[in-house]
Amino acid sequence: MRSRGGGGVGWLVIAAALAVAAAGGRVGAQWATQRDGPVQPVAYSHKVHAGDNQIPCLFCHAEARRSPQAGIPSLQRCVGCHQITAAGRPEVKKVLQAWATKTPIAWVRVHDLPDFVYFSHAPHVRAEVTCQTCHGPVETMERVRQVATLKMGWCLECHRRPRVTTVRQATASPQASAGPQATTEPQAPTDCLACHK
Amino acid sequence: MTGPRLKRREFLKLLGIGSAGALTACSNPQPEKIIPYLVPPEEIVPGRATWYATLCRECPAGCGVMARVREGRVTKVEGNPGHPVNRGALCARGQAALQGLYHPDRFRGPFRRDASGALQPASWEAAEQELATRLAELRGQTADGAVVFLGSPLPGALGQLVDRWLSFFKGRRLAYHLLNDEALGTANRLAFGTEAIPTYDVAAADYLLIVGADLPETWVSPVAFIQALAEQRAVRDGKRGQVVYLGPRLSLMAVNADRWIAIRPGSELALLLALVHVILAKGLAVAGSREERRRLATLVRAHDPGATATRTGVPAATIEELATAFARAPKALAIGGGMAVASRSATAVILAVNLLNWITGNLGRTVRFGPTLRRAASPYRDVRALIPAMEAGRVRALFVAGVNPVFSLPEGARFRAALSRVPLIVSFASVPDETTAHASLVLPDHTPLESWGDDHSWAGVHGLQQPAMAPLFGTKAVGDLLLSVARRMDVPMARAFPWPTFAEFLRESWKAIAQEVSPDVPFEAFWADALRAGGVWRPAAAQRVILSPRALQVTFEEPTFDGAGPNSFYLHPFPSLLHGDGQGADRPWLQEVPDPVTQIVWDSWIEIHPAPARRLGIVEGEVVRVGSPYGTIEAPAHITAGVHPEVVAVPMGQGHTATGRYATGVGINPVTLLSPEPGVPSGGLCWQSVRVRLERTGRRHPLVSVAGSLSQQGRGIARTIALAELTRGSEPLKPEAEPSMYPPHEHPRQRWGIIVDLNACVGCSACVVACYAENNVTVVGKEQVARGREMSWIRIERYQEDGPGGPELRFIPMLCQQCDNAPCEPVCPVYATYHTAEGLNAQVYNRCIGVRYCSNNCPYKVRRFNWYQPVWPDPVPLQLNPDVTVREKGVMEKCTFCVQRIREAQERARAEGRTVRDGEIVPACVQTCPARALVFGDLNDPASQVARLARSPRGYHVLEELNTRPAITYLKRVVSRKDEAR
Repeated sequence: MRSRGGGGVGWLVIAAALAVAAAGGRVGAQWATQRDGPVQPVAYSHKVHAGDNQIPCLFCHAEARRSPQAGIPSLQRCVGCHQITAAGRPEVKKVLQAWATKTPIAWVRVHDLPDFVYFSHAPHVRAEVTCQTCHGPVETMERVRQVATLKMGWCLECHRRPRVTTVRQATASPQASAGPQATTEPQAPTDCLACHK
Repeated sequence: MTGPRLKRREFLKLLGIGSAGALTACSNPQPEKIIPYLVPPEEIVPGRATWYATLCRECPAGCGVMARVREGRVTKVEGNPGHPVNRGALCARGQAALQGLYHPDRFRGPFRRDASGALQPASWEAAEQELATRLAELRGQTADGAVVFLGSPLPGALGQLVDRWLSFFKGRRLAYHLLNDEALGTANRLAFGTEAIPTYDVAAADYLLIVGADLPETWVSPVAFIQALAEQRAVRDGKRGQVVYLGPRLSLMAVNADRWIAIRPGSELALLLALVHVILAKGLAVAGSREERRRLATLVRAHDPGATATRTGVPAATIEELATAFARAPKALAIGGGMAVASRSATAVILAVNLLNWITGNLGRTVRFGPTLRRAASPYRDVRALIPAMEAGRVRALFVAGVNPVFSLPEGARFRAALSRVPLIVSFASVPDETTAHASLVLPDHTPLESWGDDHSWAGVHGLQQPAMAPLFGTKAVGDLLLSVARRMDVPMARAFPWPTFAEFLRESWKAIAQEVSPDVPFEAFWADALRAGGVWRPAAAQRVILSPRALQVTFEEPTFDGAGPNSFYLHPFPSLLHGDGQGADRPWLQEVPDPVTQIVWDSWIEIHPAPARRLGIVEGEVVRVGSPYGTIEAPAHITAGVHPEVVAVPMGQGHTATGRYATGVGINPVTLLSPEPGVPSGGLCWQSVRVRLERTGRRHPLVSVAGSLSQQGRGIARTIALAELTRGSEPLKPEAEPSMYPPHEHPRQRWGIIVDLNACVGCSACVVACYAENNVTVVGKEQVARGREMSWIRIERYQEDGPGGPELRFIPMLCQQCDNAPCEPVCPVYATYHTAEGLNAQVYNRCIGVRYCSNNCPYKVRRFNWYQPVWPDPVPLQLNPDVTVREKGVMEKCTFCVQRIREAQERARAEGRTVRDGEIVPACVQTCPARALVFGDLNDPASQVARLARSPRGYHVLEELNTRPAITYLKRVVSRKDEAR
């Protein structure tokens, strides 16, 4: 009996060790980026641009409207303003230097999905999902960090919510006055093939 | 009783394994970098495909293609729907052009041969300077023909530029195409006074007699011919066209004919003259004056059916029947050509075909001049004549572009040896080949998808080729190189080439076309439109031709064969559908996709009829030595009734000894066995001119075939229906099948389905290659295919049935049937395969744990398992479709109906606030099919084309009795004889 109990404890210890090892390996690395985000080659501040100066997200990430990728603005777009605006600041000088030498800036990717996931920005923008829903309050961040887990369960939480027929969509129908109508249908596809191809 | 006991050491061991696993498997990879554009290109939206119209250069047919470009790299080519030659379709070889572009063995830059004889990398500056210096020596003192440019036919501006450049060295250009049909041009000149190839109205012919020409494989314009053959086969007003094929082998053309009459090489001439004889004798001739008919009758006097039957082995009754049917058909068409008739009488054979068309009044009806094809190729004779000049040391510089003469010329021509007498050999090849092994300078050209060019082969069609992506490596376009070298030469030469780039020269040369085609449009607008459309075209005016009196003054002579003797066989080398003249051999897709007729992969073989094989004791897979007076080859035997008993047939294109990694050391090259002497009067290579002896070696070399069985085992997989039964209005599709234990699936919006029209499908395998390209399907190699581990999501299955005229093959494209009651779904323990609301059997790779239950339970055997980690050598990963997951080891995969294309179309439709239109979604296989045998659409929409075709009386499901309720409906092939239908 004694030996049997000892064996059980042994397995438990292994399981716990494995769990900790696995969790440590994975989550540990993510915490690092989640606390303050990776250091970028140019200390670009979203707080200054999107927050203080109220530049709309889509002004720079223009592809989000029409492409799976939101895109990082071309250097030309940065220089378009910064040729004059704040041209003397040290970080802006880095940008102007890169433009002068025609060297693109290699930004560090913050939001990365596994290669078997096919996420497209365009339909989300079209469905008026705000950028902050997934990316968090970027306009308050000096350095961008990942806020949401971007895991499948997290995506589905939103996709599964029942579709609400909004007033705007319903104006064409006779019951326009009925206001928002909840349906039983999920508001976005929950089919595997919607994101895995 | 003792429970699980864990010792300390085991505990530590396990702990070690556990944490090592955690560290390797779960640690985050290096952070990715995002590098944005400096200046965003106007036409590119990252994440969205851009399409560029250009030309396919895999064979000289001149098909137009659209190249799909993602983030600056071509990921797929498809037929250009607007191009008049191929009308949106593309063949297997065209699809595989991508693998030429992303070939891992491509030259990364120029090379020069050093003193030790090895190729060493060089800079362009050094290589060009060396070339210019050596050419400068030749510039002053050159005799005629000391500089030779041996290239593929260059039917446009590049040819003009090369000619202009060569004129400064009194040089000459030879345009060499191994599969050139010299006899066709010669016979047309004799009969009609023009060397051009006419338009054959295959689609309209009620009775099609094909002599040798492999229409759906390599002859003239395969994609266009497959489309026409499919139209010709289609049932219209209760009737359909008949096709009779005369040839030594059951080729893909023969398989698709209603009747294959096996003849031995060299006997086709007698047979054709006998047909003319019968038509004249029965008074069925409609064309020509009485005098002309009398002349013709004298010419064919000796060819009465009785005598011909003894000479050819074809019964007199058959000859009479063929002649009568041909002459009585409202619209008949005889087509002769190709390697199968290229004996020493090739010109006479095609002249006889011309006479047959003329005498039955089909000239100008099914054979039309005006919209003609002009081959810009020199006859083989000219290439052959080059060799003595080389041996005599008269050729001081030889430029080789787009051809591989060391591989493709008969060994007896001694080209290889003659090369040693040429002091300067410059090769423009982009991949090493047998000729670059002798080159002094290798100045690699761009591949076609990176190049500018044009093609004007068809009258009225001006195809424009533009680079679809920036050059992958440090290569240089031949045109640019010639311009650059010209600038390094003396002042008069430099001045004669003022264009900075070949693109400028091309644009300049198109000003004349703009003047001719649309004189009122400003050139800039014309050029932009031509680039967008892939060229300009307008219908060519019909041209009336009459029979030249010379055609009736010829004497017809039986062809001679070298190496005759007891126990000798006629050698029939045939061009391979997939490898062509050998250019397509180094493309792994084309090696892995089975030859549709034999189903063999990654090899060469020798086709022998069972009767002589038994006599000689040769068995399947035994290595046989084939000897002709000119050479010897050894290859495994493939015993098949699909070849004439007196013939051995060998596919061409394999047998490379020094090219890229995929073709080197695979198979043998039958050209070695041929006589190097050109034919008279055509000047073409005589493909059917030797007889060979067979010797057993006793060694075995198993051929790898993907076919499980020749027989359908009575399961009715590939079905046919007799025309009479169909026109009688036979039974409609059976009512919806037996009950099921499972609740029915609901498809509230769409249910996707495909219709496969077996009456149209010729088995060309273009769909298979298109699928490999679109879906990142891996190539596993011969050994793995032998274990049944090929990865193709769609395949062409082949079955044999006994027909009245011998074996009859049937093809059926087999892909995931997206069953409603899918056997694969309920057995998956992890729910990695499931049924979507749109009726697809989805496969979720990230869930799959690789138990393979689904594959075991699939009756159609269309699921594929990744036994090993796929290997993508650089730069192949650049070709991968970024919209499709790259699968890894241990994961099951299968046809998805190209779900990425479905999603793309749906998203586009939603963005435009509409529903998806019928025909808007085209999976890769459907898109490329030259026969238009595949149709994709929504079965739930009764107005859609698929729903309409699914109700066809020809419709059936494969293995219907299993109650799988597939989303694919096959339409039975229509045959004329009742006994053939089953």
